[in-house]
Parts: sequence; structure tokens; C-alpha cells
Amino acid sequence: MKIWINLVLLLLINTALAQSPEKYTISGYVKDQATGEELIGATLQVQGTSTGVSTNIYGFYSLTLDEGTYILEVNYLGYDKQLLEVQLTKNITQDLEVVESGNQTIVLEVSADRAEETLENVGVGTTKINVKKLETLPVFMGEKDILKSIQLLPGISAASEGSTGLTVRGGRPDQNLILLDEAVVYNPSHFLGFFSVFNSDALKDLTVYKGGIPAQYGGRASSVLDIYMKNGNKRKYSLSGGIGLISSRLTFEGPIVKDKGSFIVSGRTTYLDLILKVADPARFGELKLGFWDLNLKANYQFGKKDRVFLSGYIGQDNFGFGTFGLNYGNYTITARWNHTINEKMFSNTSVFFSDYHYGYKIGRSGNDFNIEAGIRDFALKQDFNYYHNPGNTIKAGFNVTYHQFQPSQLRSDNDRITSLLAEKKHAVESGIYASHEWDISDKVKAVYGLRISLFNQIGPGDVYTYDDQNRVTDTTTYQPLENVQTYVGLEPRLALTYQYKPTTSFEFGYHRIHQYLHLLSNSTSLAPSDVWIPSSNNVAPQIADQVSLGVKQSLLGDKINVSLEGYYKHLQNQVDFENGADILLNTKIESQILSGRGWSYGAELLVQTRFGDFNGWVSYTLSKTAYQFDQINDGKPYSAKQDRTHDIALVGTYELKKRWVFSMSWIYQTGSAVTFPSGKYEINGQRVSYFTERNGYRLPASHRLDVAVTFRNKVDKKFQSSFTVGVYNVYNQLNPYLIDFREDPNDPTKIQAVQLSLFGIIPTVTWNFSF
Amino acid sequence: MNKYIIGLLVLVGLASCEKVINIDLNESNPKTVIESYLENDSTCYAKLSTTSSYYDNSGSPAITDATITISNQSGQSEILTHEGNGIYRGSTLIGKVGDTYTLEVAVGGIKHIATSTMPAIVPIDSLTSEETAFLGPGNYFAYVNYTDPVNTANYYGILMTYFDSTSNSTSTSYSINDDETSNGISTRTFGGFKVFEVGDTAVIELSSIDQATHLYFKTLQDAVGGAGAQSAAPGNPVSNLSNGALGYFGAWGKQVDTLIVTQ
Repeated sequence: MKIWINLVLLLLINTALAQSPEKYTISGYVKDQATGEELIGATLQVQGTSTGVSTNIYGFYSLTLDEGTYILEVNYLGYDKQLLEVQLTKNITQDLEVVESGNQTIVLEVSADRAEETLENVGVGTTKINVKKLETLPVFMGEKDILKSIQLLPGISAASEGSTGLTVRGGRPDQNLILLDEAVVYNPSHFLGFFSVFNSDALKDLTVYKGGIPAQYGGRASSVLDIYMKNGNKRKYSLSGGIGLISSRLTFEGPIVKDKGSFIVSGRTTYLDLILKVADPARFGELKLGFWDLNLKANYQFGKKDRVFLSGYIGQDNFGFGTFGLNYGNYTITARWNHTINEKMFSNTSVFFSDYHYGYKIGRSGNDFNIEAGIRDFALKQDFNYYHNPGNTIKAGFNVTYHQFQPSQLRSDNDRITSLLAEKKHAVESGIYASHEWDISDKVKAVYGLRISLFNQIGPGDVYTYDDQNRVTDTTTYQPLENVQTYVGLEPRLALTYQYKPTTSFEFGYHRIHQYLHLLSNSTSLAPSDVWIPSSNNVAPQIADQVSLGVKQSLLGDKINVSLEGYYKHLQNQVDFENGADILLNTKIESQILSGRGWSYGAELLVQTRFGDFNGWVSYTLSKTAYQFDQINDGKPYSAKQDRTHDIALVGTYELKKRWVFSMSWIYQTGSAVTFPSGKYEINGQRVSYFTERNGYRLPASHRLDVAVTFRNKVDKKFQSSFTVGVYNVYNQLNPYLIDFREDPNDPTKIQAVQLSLFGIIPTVTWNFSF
Repeated sequence: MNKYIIGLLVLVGLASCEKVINIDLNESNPKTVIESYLENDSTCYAKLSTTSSYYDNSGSPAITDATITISNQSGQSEILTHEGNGIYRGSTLIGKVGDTYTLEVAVGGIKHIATSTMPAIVPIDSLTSEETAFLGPGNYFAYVNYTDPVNTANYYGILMTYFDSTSNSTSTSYSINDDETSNGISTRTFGGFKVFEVGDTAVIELSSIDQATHLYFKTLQDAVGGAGAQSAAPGNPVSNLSNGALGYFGAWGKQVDTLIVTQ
């Protein structure tokens, strides 16, 4: 609270001091000239100085300067620099338009990279990715996928091969806050985890925060993936799409009223099961296997100051064979209202809804049973941005989310199986934050803030208390909205940048985050049947503290950018369970949850190069992640499953005459920490493994080379078309997915270790078009 | 989940390739393994062995010099006799439903103790077989039908011995069940995931086991065969024996019935 008061005081003092000379404000939106699409994080800077601002997530900017004439430089990742002369003698509202750069190969920007000025960016541990430019990178099965591509960045890797489950700085997949137009996406995976739910055709912007997370975000311990959908073309109708090995995509966008409002509809569907059915009806006749998703968004501008957005996502996976079926999917709906209160103050109000659900169905209808579970959110969010002057921006706001949890339950139409219904659980998660972006001097910039989070487990429902033996000692029945348990979190955030030289900067970041929701999982990667549970009287919230320290250096006139970052993260109240705990159909799972601590530390190196038409990066992460639970491994610390000592990625793209793009990526990773037996014995005549240590062994390291070539038709044609031919795992490396121990078929007195690999060499072709 | 994923990928022919690799496993010090039970109308059985090197599949070394005592709550007790190969048997103390038994095993100066109360027998109503539609005609599953008692939490062990009438071979399977989804109702459960043809025979033992025995067999599933390496967090099964012994001691009441599969 004290920090909050200080912040308000500071604001008042600043206002009091800022009287003379006369100041005026230029404000408006930065847009793409061709489509009218607002650009997120574009920078405006007074030429020759370090004075500047960047656009917010709606593309809005506001810059207050002394009366005078200035040349403003507008920069955006992958766009040509735009210069604008401004005579500031009154407040000006001016939308700025930038043109996409001909250089198609700039793919990502790690906070410090746009040009020399972005070295002043305070974003320690922050990476902004240009979604559109990812198209040319080689991808799994030819499906471009942002959650796969960001695994090529330091500190981010897949939870298991081919998985969209991410581990960020040693975190678990459920510790990533994945937001699509501000709504939480609870399960980002399709196809049992091999593809993400994000259709790149409908996306505009992605920013990944893994350190120094700003105060406006909260609720997940490791990272934030803030993803925004396109608003749709405001100037003309356009149709684009693609046909690939796994899925086909179609996007239609255009103006509702030219330059006033636009819409976008983007859909995607698979057809693998249909092909298989035609190919072999006897074998695959009863097979259902696939997914579809649909992104919808519309926006409209009312007058000069108000704008309304409505966006939604629906996606569903269907998997079935004979009498067994599994369906799961997400919905999100977001409604937002942008309001420019005055030239210095911007407001956004959002309401959203998010839902994740899954169900297994076993048996024929009329005699079947279903196991189902899910989570549902209703939320309200209010944000204010106040652009006091170029050196001081205040962001503040609050949010309230009502969570409804459906623990796994069984519904039966079969008279030999009784239904096992589980009552819903309820909670309210709220947060209030304020954050101050402050240019302390030409060389030192700070973003500091505080988030206060509040979590209330509420009724209706029965709440249990357990003893050491997991027996229920007390049951209390709560009424609707009655408070059961309250948790409060004080979450200070800080990001500091010191611009030592124009080419060198040092960065520091600290954050504390409370995570109130936990994902219970009994598999090695994200699975649809994983269950989200709230913190409660029996389960404490996870708390993460992280410090990051980084140095950025640009060499050879910005042709090479080097970034080195170290971090240390400490995690409290991590979740694991007792031996033999059932996640499914267990209304008393809380009694079997164990609480422990974890820590992760590491160094991340990223070297980006840009020489003419060649563009690429090398990323290397050296890290260690461990847990300690009193009840696991005799209380001794053990390596986390997601611990990767070495993680290397090499990425390169080369553009030839604007029509050919060659790209490659190579990765190397230490194998996951696994538990193998150190002895065996017999029970009931069966071989039983004897374990002495949790995660004491390693899977062999994996590495893989992927390549792709994209060929486009003439750039100036109205109808754009391109072919991408890719090869996944070029040298057919058999990477370990899991190790099984079996009797040697040639010598029954011996056991052998058998490694199972998932994907060998896979060639793919994708055709994309737009007009 | 891993199994689904692999099954799915193999099914559509996209993936999966196996090869034998070398993995160095640590050698642990031998630990005592106790497998002991007392059934109704029967004497106590115990099998003692030690853990051994994982890659060596030639059998587990037997413990032949242990002193094993079984006693009930009224103080009656006997010392089990070693019959050879680490197998010990009692001769006088007969298992009775409702009694609580204590097993004491002394090996190399260490005493391992466990207790178990024999739950009431749940009678088998019938054994039935049913043709399974999705495996095609001529394939049957065997089921055991029983009525779960209402007022108690019940745990079951189902031991099925299968005689194949064509190849004249025998195999067994053991599975466990509880009454969480079937409390107090007539229950039909698989004898085991075994496919029968007409003429094959199943001998099914339905045992009422106590909670500790149920937990032991439930947690055992994560460590059986190669399964340990596939589970996300494999661990040793939860034993009711003290002082770090592996295995279990259970007292259970069982009923046996035979089924010959007909059309």
C-alpha cells in the first residue's frame, strides 16, 4: 500500500513541477498503411534524442513535448522507418502510417534490436515477435505455429518433443499465462499437444515476457505470452489461405465501413481421418481424428474517441475409435471498449469469457458413460494509460475474474456404473496494479510497479479439512458467494535499464508473482485430461520470485546483436502428489497434494546477425531446475523433469531476389530428467522396478535439423501465391520420446532398454495464397 | 496419456520407431522383499527375496534364513516353516473373516512388521461371458458379477486364471477394483483384459481386500514391467511393512468360481 501511495504522490509532484514552459501533446494511432491495422509497440522518437514513446496494445500513442518543431521518427519491427515533421503549437491528434519493409527476413526482435534506440528498451527478458514473418521458418508438418517457433528462443523449450507445452526458465507448462486478446487460454494445444490452438493467419502480435514481468500481468509463475488477433483490413476485402499436409486455412477480412471498422474471420480444419477412411475403410472406418478452430473479430470506431472490439475463438478436437471418444476444446470471447479520455489519457475496458472443457465417452449411446471436466472464467478488466510527459507514463488498472471449476466427474447411462458427480468449485481472482515508466535520466530508465492480487475461494459447496492420514476430519457446507479462504499477494515489479554506451546497455529485472490456479497432470507433457484446480484451504498459492540481470551489446553497426541474460528464480508451494493419487474422478484430490519448493537458474545467450539478405540467430541456454519436497526422494532435492542443462538453437534464413527464401533451424537439447529403476524384484510373478531416486537419470540428448524453401510469385502481382517445401528432421535423428525396459527376445535372462522415437524425417508441402 | 499418443500416432502411421540402447543403471544394495497373505480358511503364505540387478532377468535371490511369525488379535501365533526357495508357510493359524493379523519378519537383525484385518467376503453372484462387438465375432470377455455392500468402503482383488482350450496353455491376471462408482449396487466387472473363445475356461477368485492392500496393488501398477519408465513420476509402491521392506502383507476373504465360455 505504501508503494501505491508513493506512486500517487510522485504523480502529483510531477504534475506540480511540470508548469513551464508551455507543453503540447501529439497523440493518435500508428497503423499499417496497406491494411489500416494498428501496430502494437511501434516507437516514436524525437530525432537525435532519446525522448520517445511506444504505442500500447491498441496502437495508441501520446507524446507530450515543449512547444516547438520536431522531427519524429516512427519505427516498427519489419517496417520502414518513417519521418514526420511536427509543429507543436497546440494539441494534435494524428494517426501515423508506416509501410511494411521489403526485407521479409526480419523475424524477431529481442527487446533490444530494432535500431540503436531500442537498446534503451526497458524490457529485460522480453521478446517481441513478428508473427507474419514466421512463415518462412521450417515447421513441424508444415503447420506454422507460434508456440513452436518461440521454442527457438533462449530460455524457452518444449516440454517434450513436438509438444506445444512450453517450459520457460525451468517453469512448468501451466505456469505460462497465455492470453488471446486478453482472455486466458487454458489449453493451448490441438491434436494431443502437437499443434497449438493459434492460427497464425489470424494473429497480429506476440510478446513473450520471461523476466521483469510488468505489473499489468499476474496469475502465472513463469511467463506471459500476450497474443493479439488482427483487427482485419480496414481498406479493402482480402481473402487468404493455405493448404497443408495436416490442415487447410481460410481467412476473410475487410472493412465494415472504410477506415471506421473492420472484421476478420479465420478458420482452420484438418482432414487426416477422412483421407485415412478413403484409403482404408476397413481399418479406419470408425476413426475420428482431428481438430478445427475459428477466430472471429470485428471492431468499429464511434467518433474520434471511442472504439469497440469484439473477438472470439472457438476450437475443438475430436478423437474417437469405435466405442471410445475424446473431445476437448476452448472458447474465448472478448469485448473491449477503447476510450481516449483526453490526449494524454487512454482507457480500455474489457469483459471476457473463457472456457476449457474435455470429455471422454466410452460405450455406445444409451449404454455409455462420460468422464468430463473443465474450467470457465467470467472477467472484467479496466486499464488506464496516462502519458504525463515523454519521461513519465503511468499504467494502472484492475481486474476481477470469477472462476468456475468442474472437477472431473462421471455421468453414466449404464446401469452397472453409478454416476459420480462432482460439485463445481468457485473462486474469485482479482488484481489491482499501478506501474510507472520513468526515464530517470538519458541513460537510466525504470519501470516499477506493484500488483496486489487477491484470491477468494467461495461457496457454494462442501469444503473438507484433512488429517495426516488424508482422512476427512471436518466438512463445512458453504452458501453461494460465502467466503471460504482468502489469499492476498503483494507483487512488486521492477525493470531497470542503464544505457552505458549507445551500443551497450545493462538491464535488471525483478518480479514476484502469485499463482492461484494449479494444473494437475500425470503425464510428461500437456494432456487434455489435465485438471485445473484452485488454491483453497488445503492448497496454498504458488509464489515465484525472479531476478534477472542482462547485458546487451551491438556490434558492427548493428549487424550483430548480442544479449546475455542470467536469472535466478525461487518457487514456493509447488504442487506434486502422493504415490498412486488419481487425478480423475477424485473429489478429495486435495488431500493427496504435496507442497514443495523449486528453484531455477541459468544463463541465456542470444546472438542475432543480419548481413544483407541473410538473417539468423544462435541461442544457447545453460540452466538448472530442481525441486525439493519433504515427501519425495527422501526429502532430497531432485532435478525437475523439465530441467535442460544445455539448450541450443541455430536459425537462419536467406532471401534470394525477393522470391526465394531458404531457411533452416537446428536444435540440441539435454534429455529430460527421468526416473529409471536401480534394481528389480518380483511380486505375483511380475517384474517390479525398484527405484532409489526421483529423476536421477537422463534421456539421451536430442538434436534435429529442419529446413524449408519458400517460392513466391512476383511480389507486385495482386494475386499472391507461395509454395513452401519443408523437411522435418533432415538427418532422421531418432530422438528419445521414452525408454521402455523389456525382456530381451533373444535371451530371456536379460532385460534391455528400448528407446521409442516419435518422428523421423518428414517432408511437407504447403501452398499459401492471398488476394 | 503417453500410451494414447503413441497408439494414435502408430495408428495413423505417422510415427514411432524403436531401437535398443545402452543405459547405465546404478546398482542398489539388496533390499528385502516380502510378499505375504493370509486367506480365509487357509494358513499364512510368505515369499521372501531380495532386489537384484535390473538387467539380470534370471530370477530374484531368495531369503531362506528369516524368522516369520503370524499372530492374531487374541494372541494366537505361529512361526512359519521355510519350504525352500524363500517360500514360508504356516500350519495351524487359520484365517478368519473379521480377525486382525500381525506379521513379523526378522531378516538379518531387522524386524519388519505389518498388520491387516480380513474384510468380509463379498459373494460372486455369477460369472458371465459376453461377445465383444468391436473385436469381432467369436471373441469374448469374462465378467464377474457381485453385489457391493452399501454401508462400507469395499476393495476387491480379482485373480483370473485362464485356460486356453486350443493351445492347452494357462495364464493369470490380477486386477483391483473399488466401489467408488458402484457403491451398493450390482456390479459387473472385467475378469481381466483377456480375450476368450468358446470352450475356454476362466477360474476367477474374488477377494475382499483391505485398503492398504488395495493401495499397494494400485501403486504397484506404476512400477510393474517397463511401466516405471513411462509414468510421469514413478515411485515404489506404498507398502504396509515397516522398516523399509518392499512388498505387502494382506489378509483377505475370497470366493472362487469357474466359467466355461459358451455361445
